[in-house]
Amino acid sequence: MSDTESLSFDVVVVGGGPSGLATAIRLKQLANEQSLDLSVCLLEKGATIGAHILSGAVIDPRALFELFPDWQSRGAPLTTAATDDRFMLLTESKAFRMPTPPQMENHGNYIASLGALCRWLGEQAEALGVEIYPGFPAARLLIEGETVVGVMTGEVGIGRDGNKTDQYQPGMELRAKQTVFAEGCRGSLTKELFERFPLRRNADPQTYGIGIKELWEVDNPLHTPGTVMHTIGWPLDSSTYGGSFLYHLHENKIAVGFVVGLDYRNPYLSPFDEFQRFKTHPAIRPMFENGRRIGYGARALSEGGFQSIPEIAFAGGVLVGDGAGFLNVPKIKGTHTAMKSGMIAAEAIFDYLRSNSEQSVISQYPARLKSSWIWDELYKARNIRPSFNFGLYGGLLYSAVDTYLFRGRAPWTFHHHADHLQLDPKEKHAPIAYPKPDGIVSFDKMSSVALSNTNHERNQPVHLKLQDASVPIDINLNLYDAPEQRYCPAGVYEIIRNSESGLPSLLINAENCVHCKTCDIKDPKQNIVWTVPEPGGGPIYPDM
Amino acid sequence: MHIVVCVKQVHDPEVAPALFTINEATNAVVSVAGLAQVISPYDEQAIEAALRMKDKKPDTKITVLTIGAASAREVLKHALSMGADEAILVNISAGVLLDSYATAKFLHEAVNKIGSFDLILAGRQSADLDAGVVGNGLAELLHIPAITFAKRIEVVESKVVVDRVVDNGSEKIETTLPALITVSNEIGAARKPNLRETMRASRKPTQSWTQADLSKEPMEATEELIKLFIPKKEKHCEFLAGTSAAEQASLLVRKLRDARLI
Ligand SMILES: Cc1cc2nc3c(=O)[nH]c(=O)nc-3n(C[C@H](O)[C@H](O)[C@H](O)COP(=O)(O)OP(=O)(O)OC[C@H]3O[C@@H](n4cnc5c(N)ncnc54)[C@H](O)[C@@H]3O)c2cc1C
Ligand code: SF4
Repeated sequence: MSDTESLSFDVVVVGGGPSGLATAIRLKQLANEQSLDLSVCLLEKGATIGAHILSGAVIDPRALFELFPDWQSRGAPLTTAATDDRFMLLTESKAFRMPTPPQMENHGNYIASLGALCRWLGEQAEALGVEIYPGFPAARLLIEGETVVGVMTGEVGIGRDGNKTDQYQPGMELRAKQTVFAEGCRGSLTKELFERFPLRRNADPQTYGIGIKELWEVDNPLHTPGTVMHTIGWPLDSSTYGGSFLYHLHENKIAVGFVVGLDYRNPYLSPFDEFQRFKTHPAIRPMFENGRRIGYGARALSEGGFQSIPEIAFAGGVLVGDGAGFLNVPKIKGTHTAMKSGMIAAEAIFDYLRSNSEQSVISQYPARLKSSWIWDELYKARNIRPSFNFGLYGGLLYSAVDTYLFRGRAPWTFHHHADHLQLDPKEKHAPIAYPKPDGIVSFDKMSSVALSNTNHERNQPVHLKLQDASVPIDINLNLYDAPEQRYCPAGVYEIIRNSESGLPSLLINAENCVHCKTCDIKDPKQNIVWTVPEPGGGPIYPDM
Repeated sequence: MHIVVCVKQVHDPEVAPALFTINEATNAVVSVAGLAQVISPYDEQAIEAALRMKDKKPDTKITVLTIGAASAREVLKHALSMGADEAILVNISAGVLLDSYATAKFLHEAVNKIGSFDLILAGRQSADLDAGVVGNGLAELLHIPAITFAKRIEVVESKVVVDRVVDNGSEKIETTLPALITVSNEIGAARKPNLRETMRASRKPTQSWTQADLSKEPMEATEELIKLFIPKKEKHCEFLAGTSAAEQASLLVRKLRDARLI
């Protein structure tokens, strides 16, 4: 081996979202209660905890209550109780209020910033003795034989040409008895684990959505803290799954976002432009007209639910959170399940490590998870998302029947297909003429990305790797009119033409990437692979 | 050798301007909630300059010093993670605005309390107020030579040789130690914190002093900030009447004259 530095811990956690932080906290709580020495190290690729976190969010505090029964007196930043639920169906010019489906009732929940909650969880974790290292992404798996023995952090100072610069610093090996992968939706190392171990062999393909979100400061009588609104329908056509969320926070803030199922078929569809158009609806526009946009970003979310849950324990490690797909789609909530899965994993790991020290499969984790409330919750919700393959109205109708008649226990289970296989050839659709942004409520992509504060060292290899350099033109452009230009919410992909020959090529503006992972999911040939960039890269989200 | 590096915590200059507003009552810049403040980039480069000297002479000790609210511990942690050895926070309440003179006086008291040093480094100016006065003020109070805008620093026995950025190039200046040097961006990129140092950072000595630890006199600002504001930019667009190019051109000339632009 080379002179790579190596350090050993009992547990290494990859990712400082709600799942990773809850895992680390629970491990240390147990160790401290029993006065046991347990070293827990948490790596986070964002420059600070929360900097890469983007969510809605209406948060169900169930798992938080279990982790810190006294979370309120400890000052957790869940202060806006959800008081009013509105579920609306939009047509181009009208909005119809619909009965709120029971899964979407939010009594007892809180409207909050998940970034702020994670920062708070990070402080709690540090106080308990977790070693937290933000700004250090895990870049590679360490595997020996068939066992995960840890991860390697990213190198610094490799130039765009692949050579070391004078800033070069090697990565570091972090070895652990158990490595917890808490990378969130479409984790880059989690994906390698899926390929390396056949963890998905008995699961449906995962299906995803892209969520694009803005944070606004408004000065407006329409702003009523506690209001939770969801819309379906316009501007999406009825064969595309998706809709908006609009959450009124305290301090004159509104979180507004738009989610589009990544199984969409029309290659001309642009989730970003659908979102911008949504805000121009006569029922929505007045909310923002004299407001100020203070945040923008995007993140993919797992929508496969129950059918898509992979095996979550393997030799040397476990998967927790949205990386394993524990999001409840009809509820559009994954924070409570992410935290709970981490807590269950922590308890199982702790019990195992008390009497063993070799890297093995923690089979108690899946066993306990299956008897927890997560399993029941996801089981009942399992048919809702795939029923929208019948279209918007078919899905709504089915969901009502499944929920009210069968109470989630219908004797069948619908299945999912991989999102990247769903695009139609461009000939089947006409380009969509999106309206020009008005600069008041709707904006262009570049001024939006600026608000994500994303940044990457320019002199580094492109972190969006093409497996085959010919696919973007020969397949993506020719068959699908280069859909990456439209689904990427940060304008990373651009088709440019040579000024003399007129020949097209794909330009990748990797600096703009906001780490949403959509390209890794939707690229029709799975030719684009998202890898972690040099440490420190990525968005800096304020309380998103 | 003992190098003291003065650093300041500022609003992240890389963050979109739309995320900041000005509180007119307190004349303070306010960022939207949830944004972390950072070390002023020139100060980060001053740490880099110190670390390069330490790379050459490993027995060099680097102490980072900041005056700030409790949140400024984060910039000290950053400096220690880059490789500095010790850190001192002079803790003042959040929201206290010190002017350049008060800051220099405060740093002077702190440096006196630190005791011995060979070299003091600071950024050429802070990234928020851009005044560039504190370093020189501190040198004056300490009665030591100051060299500004360094792009290269070399210590040779009891002397220091500095390449200093000037308008059309650079000049070489030599002085005796102890001295104060302000560092310019031409020195080159600061290194990233590495994991090994970051892991050690929490165990490195860090002290927190209050004003009472330094002096009995209150540190009062001698300057008053009267108004901090974001200039309003207005745009108007007017289409010139007229049917021919010649007619439009003469209308344009008249407009520009009326506006006293030509
Ligand atoms: C638009 C949108 C709206 C949502 N609304 C809600 C809602 O209203 N309520 C709700 O409960 N849930 C909501 N969710 C879902 C919720 O945000 C997720 O379920 C939850 O964030 C999952 O937590 P996690 O810890 O698994 O992953 P994440 O929150 O994604 O956190 C993963 C962390 O790991 C880091 N990371 C990833 N890879 C690496 C690596 N290799 N090395 C180091 N660090 C790494 C990331 O930077 C990130 O900080 C929403 C999601 C989206 C996208
Ligand atoms: S490049 Fe990929 S991961 Fe980055 S913002 Fe675009 S779609 Fe998201």
